[in-house]
Amino acid sequence: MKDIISYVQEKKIPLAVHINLTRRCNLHCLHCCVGKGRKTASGQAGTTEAGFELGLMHIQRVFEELAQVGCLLLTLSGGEVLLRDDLLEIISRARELDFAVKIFTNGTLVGRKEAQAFHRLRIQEVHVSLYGADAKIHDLITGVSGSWTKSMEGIRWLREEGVAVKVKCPIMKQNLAEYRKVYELAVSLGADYAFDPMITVRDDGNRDPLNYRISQEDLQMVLADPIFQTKRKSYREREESFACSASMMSEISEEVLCSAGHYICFISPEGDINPCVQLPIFCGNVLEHDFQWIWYHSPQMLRIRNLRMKDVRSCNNCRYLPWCARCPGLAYLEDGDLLGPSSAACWMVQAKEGDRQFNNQIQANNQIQPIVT
Amino acid sequence: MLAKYIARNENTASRIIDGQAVIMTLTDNTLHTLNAVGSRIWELCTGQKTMEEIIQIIQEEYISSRPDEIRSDCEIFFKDLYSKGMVVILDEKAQGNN
Repeated sequence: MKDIISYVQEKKIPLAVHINLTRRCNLHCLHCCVGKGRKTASGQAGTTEAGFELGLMHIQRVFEELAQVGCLLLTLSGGEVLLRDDLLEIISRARELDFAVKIFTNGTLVGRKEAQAFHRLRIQEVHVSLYGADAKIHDLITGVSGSWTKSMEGIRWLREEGVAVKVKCPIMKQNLAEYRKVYELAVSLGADYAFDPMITVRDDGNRDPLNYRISQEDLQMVLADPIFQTKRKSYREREESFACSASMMSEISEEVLCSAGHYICFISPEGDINPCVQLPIFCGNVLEHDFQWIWYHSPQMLRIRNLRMKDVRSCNNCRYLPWCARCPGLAYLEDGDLLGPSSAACWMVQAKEGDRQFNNQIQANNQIQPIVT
Repeated sequence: MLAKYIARNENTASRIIDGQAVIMTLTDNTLHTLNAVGSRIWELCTGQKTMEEIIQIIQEEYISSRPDEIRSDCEIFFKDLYSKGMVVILDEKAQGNN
């Protein structure tokens, strides 16, 4: 994998593209990162109560353009993707063009019919958000009574049809005590799992979700949890190949900031193209230009692509830099500067540092095996 | 065995990038890459040709290589693709063009 990642990065092939098909959702999650989006003309075809959405014909054309430039991995998300009546048709078109397709959903609208279709269409994996191991906390976070029960039904249908499921649980103040139970629940359902304490600003700049981010003390505790450690190991491996962060100071300056605009890309429900789902810098719209032009020639895309770690001057002397997984998108969204310090990255790396000191102390005492190896 | 048809498994997704096949096996989320000859064979795994026919095509297209070496390499390659769940072996020609 490392070889192909290096290759597509060098050749600027958009191997992985994330598409949000809608902003509509049947839940009202406290921490939701999907904002209102760019204003578009109302009344045009495809306009919903949540604004304009690319129609099936547009999406088909975009899929063909993506296939032509080498894209293989598609993530279809929202909003809630199953609110699109044409979702199965969209997935069918994607599979006909031989894309690997992942679906991000809250699971509440997945019944037997949808699960069977996902199996028939060979969906790579369905990611279902679950915030608690019972309805109480989950429904509090989603703002919809009965949503936990429906999500669980959805997961069970998917598993019954043999569809791979990953239970995703953002960790926030409201469900800090729940994530271990969610882990046990996911395992009992035969699902993979992922926990993420990184609650982010909405993509329209709304900072309300940050109120739910856990304290650094709690983050340190979470990072020390063995069930989180196994995921962190894979994250470290990912960091190495994605060049999200550098391990050697001497190599940092010429490193790219991240994979955004190098081999990953994002398309909004309105057809706006950004370098990454977390980097809302408008590079063009697929209704005005073809994808290839935007990817290879948009001035904004080229600007992002040409940035290097040496351009992040304010962080160059930071003692945490070798371990920092700074995300330029989060720095831009949360702190307003693509090349400035990132509050989110500082919050994370300082907790990791505490975790490291904690483990060093354990290792020195030689009483129990260290969690971090 | 070589008289049987060979087709890409439905549990894969693939793209030819600069002549190199990049294949995702959807059951284990693994990306595989093939070299130029492997990619050419992958393109031919449509369920419309037997393994023997594919070997003959490769022998014709790579005339600078020894035919027996090509045959041996192809047989190993077919087994490797099959063991990784990337292809299926069919008794009859697949329907459609796939």
